[in-house]
Amino acid sequence: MAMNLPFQPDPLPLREGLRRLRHVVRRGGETAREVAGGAMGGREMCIASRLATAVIAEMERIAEEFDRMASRAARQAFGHEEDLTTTLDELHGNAPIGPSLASTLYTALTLVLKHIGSDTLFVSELAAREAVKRWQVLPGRRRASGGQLAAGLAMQLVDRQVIRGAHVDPRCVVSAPSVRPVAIFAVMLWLLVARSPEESEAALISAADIAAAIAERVALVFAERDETGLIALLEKYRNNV
Amino acid sequence: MSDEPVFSRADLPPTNEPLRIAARRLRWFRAAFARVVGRVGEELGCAFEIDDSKLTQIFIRWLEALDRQRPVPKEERAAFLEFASSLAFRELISNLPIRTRGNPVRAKREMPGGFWPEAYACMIFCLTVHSATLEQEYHVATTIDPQIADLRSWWSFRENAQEDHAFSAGFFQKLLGHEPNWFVPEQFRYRIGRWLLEPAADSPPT
Repeated sequence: MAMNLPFQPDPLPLREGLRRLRHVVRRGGETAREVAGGAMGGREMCIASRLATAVIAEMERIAEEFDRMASRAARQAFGHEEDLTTTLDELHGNAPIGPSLASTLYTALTLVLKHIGSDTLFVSELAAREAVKRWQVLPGRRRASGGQLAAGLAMQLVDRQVIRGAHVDPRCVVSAPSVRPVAIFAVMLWLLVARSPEESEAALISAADIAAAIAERVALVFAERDETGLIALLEKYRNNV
Repeated sequence: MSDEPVFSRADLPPTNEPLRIAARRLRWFRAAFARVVGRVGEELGCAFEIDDSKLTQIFIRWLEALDRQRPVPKEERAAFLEFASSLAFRELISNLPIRTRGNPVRAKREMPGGFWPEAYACMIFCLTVHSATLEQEYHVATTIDPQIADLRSWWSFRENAQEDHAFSAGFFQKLLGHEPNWFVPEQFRYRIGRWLLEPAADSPPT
């Protein structure tokens, strides 16, 4: 239930800050563990390394706890959850859609990156919110098709650098330059698909796999900022998720 | 184990959409494949491992083939629906997305399922979707050429399919009772003989 506050502070910057902290700690922790493990190996790890690993684990735990608290606080203050079933076509013309759509984009992009094996990258919900704001005032939006809406939003997400970081996990199923286009394309495809709450995650995974299977074509249309080509790809595959 | 291949709509996952639509959705296609292959594994007495990444690539290539060949005339749609499963079979055989863990313990080596279990499971999947779709759309029952149980056909199929992937499409059409155009069995427009007609095209002009 939403709380009635005399003023409503924006919790997103705090939440994003905590997510960044968690991301940095986790990435740093992985690197430290790799280095410590590689240098000394398992049981022979020296006391300093074990201490460092323990501190990192504790920092991760604290950051995750903060993140959970901030997410809970944000939901209580604004009363909105991620909307995992509304399609872009249904959102068309509704206002305001910014906070919930940005939150959905954050959740979906994070899941897709994890699924394709690159959760080393950071998803910025703040950037997603900014992208949604700009997308909402794009000219011609009222008359746009689902594919056009999705392509417009995709380009805004690219421009706002919603996916950040340089290190792509070598286990990722697509090449490093394709990761961002594939993740964004997958989420746009998913947003075009009618889905029940029960099938929402399966649909997202399916969209991610389709995007990964056509990664080269997806990367090309993004690299060339070929919005017409992007619309064509989205329309071509929206019924196959 | 019987020599007759067993396929039933009951093996397919539920959907609120017509099967011809659901089959073109990756999540349903994968779920259907997993269920049918799991059931065939029980029948043969072996477990199959599915490579989801390969299966997705196969699905995408099948969609591409459908898009390239989809006929414009309305009266050819039923025939194309009937033909489409042979294209799926070709894609599956060209890059098999499953492999057995251990030998089938309930299928003899001289039976298709024991001889080449992976291809047999893919065939049953295609037959299951094919028969359920045609039944739903046109109330047509699928009949299978009895030659399917003949191991010599499978020897020939296995040898030829490895040299030319298109052969698999012809093999599938043959088991549905059609004479394939062996020069280009994967080309819908060059098909030979009478295929399913749209009900409207079957009725005399008024």
